[in-house]
Formats: sequence, structure tokens, C-alpha cells
Amino acid sequence: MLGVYRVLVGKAVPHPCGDPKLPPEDEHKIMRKYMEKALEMLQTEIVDDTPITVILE
Amino acid sequence: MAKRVVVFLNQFFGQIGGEEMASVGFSVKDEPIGPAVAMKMNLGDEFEVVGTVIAGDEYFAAAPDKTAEEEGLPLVEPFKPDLFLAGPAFAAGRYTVSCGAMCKAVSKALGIPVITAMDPDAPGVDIYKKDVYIVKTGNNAREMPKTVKKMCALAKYLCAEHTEKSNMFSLQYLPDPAEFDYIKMDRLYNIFTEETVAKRSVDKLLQKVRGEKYETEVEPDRFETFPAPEAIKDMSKCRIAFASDGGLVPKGNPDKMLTRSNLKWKAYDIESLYKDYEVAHAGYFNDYVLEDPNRLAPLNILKEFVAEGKLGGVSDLFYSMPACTTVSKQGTANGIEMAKMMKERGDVDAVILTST
Repeated sequence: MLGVYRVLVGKAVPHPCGDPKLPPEDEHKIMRKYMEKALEMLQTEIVDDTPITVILE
Repeated sequence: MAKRVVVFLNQFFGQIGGEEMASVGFSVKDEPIGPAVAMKMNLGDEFEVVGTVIAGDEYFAAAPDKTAEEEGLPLVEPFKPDLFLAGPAFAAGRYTVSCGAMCKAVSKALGIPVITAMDPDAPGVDIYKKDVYIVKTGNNAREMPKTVKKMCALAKYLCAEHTEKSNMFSLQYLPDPAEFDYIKMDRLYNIFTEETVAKRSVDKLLQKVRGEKYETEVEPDRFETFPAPEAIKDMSKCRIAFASDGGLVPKGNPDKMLTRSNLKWKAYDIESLYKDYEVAHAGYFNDYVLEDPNRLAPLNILKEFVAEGKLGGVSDLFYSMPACTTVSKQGTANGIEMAKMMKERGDVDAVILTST
């Protein structure tokens, strides 16, 4: 909708790339997951001008 | 006494020449030329077209607003106009912009009604629609007679004396965009309705669900479309910058970023920023980011990737534009400036923009 082609849905509005509910080492893992996915998306070609939106499990 | 009208045209409609004459500078005629003749006929006896100002498309293209203010306006002023018309410019790239620029400059300096006409997708529309009445046209000059007629109908409405007293403010007399077929200027005015907003909303929603025709009262912003950025081929050579609207700023907020409706941006040294920071954003609960800004933009992780050889590098600047209830147009304008800075520095291959 915003015209952005690669959108990774964040964890939550006040902490898009982390999760304060988790112990520090688990939160660190989740931060890595977000950034790994972000890099993967940056390496993904956009086909037919169709935006990609990804939600991490 | 008849109202005095000045018309602006490009070199083509001003009957100087085609593209080969597009670099021609300003000229002035003390009479209606081309479309201005049709305007004179449509406007009738209460108006007099006292002058036509003409300039080449290419002449205008480099700096439209500056050219309009510094060269165009001084030629219009001596006519002491009551009304200013420009175009119609249809879908022409440069002409829609020069018409918009002339109208805006004249309106700002003289405070008289200004009207132009364009295809709703033309480049001049997004730039000038909030300052200038832009009558809708198709993308073809065949629509000239119809368009001139619409421009003149709107002109007559804007120049008429509205004797009823407004109960709120003068925008009460804003002409109805549907009736006069011009592009909405996003202005608000009051109208009386029989039904409450709740009833109207639900009615329209039901119409939508049923697949019936309905007209929205509030149109969301249209976002610009642009080509998809190419994929990164080799991440181990890619340098990434963070940009964010989450409000991360250096401690003390030295640039006085606003927590609401902020319009500014700044690139901060990322290492110092992550050591000593605060959050300027009234739109979300800030504590989690205050505890750890990596939750907003995980610099810690990107550094790990660099150390592991997965990523080429991280920009030493953090591009920050706190944005809570900020108009999206400002985001576009600031984004262009950020991209320009990144390009000039030549140290960024991709951007991760995180948002709260």
C-alpha cells in the first residue's frame, strides 16, 4: 500500500526488531532472525513490480 | 467595469513555434492569443482579456518556481489583473509545471483567483494542486473547447461576489470540486448534512460491501509509484545504512525534533548515537527502545554480520526522521534528501528503514 517493495513485518510497534519479554540471549536470536530475513529480502528480485511482504513465524 | 484577465501560455499555444522554439524566453501580448481568444468568448462581457504572457517550455524547465517569481510575475503585475488563467496544459510534462508555477507565483503575490487545467496524472498536479485550482482534462488537446469552458465556469464562480455570510470562515465558498470538475485541494469547509457521520459511514460501507457505487468523503493520500530497487547481488560487499522514523536522536535532542508532526531529518554519527540517545516520538511507548535502541534498528546484529563476513559494511551515519502524525509528503521530500546525501557520500548500497 505504501509503495515499498520489500516489507518485513516487525515484532510490535514499540520494538519492531526485538522482544523485551524474552531473556537477553533469546531476544538476541530474534534480532538476528529479523536482520537475516532483511538481508535475504534485499537479495530477492522483485518480479512484475509485485511487492513482497514477509511475516516471521 | 470588466474584470481584467491575464493568460499564460507556452510557445506552442502562444503561436511562437513548436519544440524548436521551446527555449524561447518570455514575451507579452496586449491581446488574447490562441486559447485566450476562446477564454474571452466564454467569459463574456464582464471580463476583458488584457494580456497574454508566453514562455517556452524548455526555458521554464530548469527552475520553474524561480522563473515564475522572478521573470513571469513582473510581466503579469503591470496588467493589474483580477483573474489569472494558465494553459490548459493537458498531460504535458514541462507545460503543466510551468502553468502551476505561474499560477502559484501570481496567487501568492497578487491574491487573485488563478486557474489552470491538467490531466490528473500530469507532473504539475502533485506539485501545485494545493495552491492552484486545476481543472481536470484528458491527455489530449482535442479537449480544448470543453476544458476552456470548464475553466471559465470556475473563473466566474471565483470572481462572483458571494453575499451570503459565512458562518465559519471564508472557505465556505470553496467551489464544489465535483460540480466544477477540478482537482481537490485538500481544503476543509463546512457543509450541512441531514445525517450524522456515523450514519453516512455505515451507509457507504454497506454500499461498498454490496458492490454498489459510492463516493468517499475522505480520500487517502495517493502514494507515488516508483521502480522496484534492484536486488543486491553480493551481500558480502554491500554497505547498509539504517534510516528510521522511530525518533532516535542524540541525548538532549540537539536539533529540536518534534515528538509530533516533526518535519525535519538529520544524519547522526551512529556510534555516538547508540551510546547516548533519547527518543523523540509521541506515537508509541518509548521505554523498550530507550532500554535498547537495537530493538528499533539492530546495529549490534549488522556489526556481527560484518565481522562474520556476511555483510560488507554499515554506514557510519544513522538517518533519523522522527515521524508521528507527520504528513507523508514531508516523508517523501526528506527521503529524497537522504538518498541524495547517501549518493554523494557514495558509501551506501542498500537501506533498511525501520518504523514504529
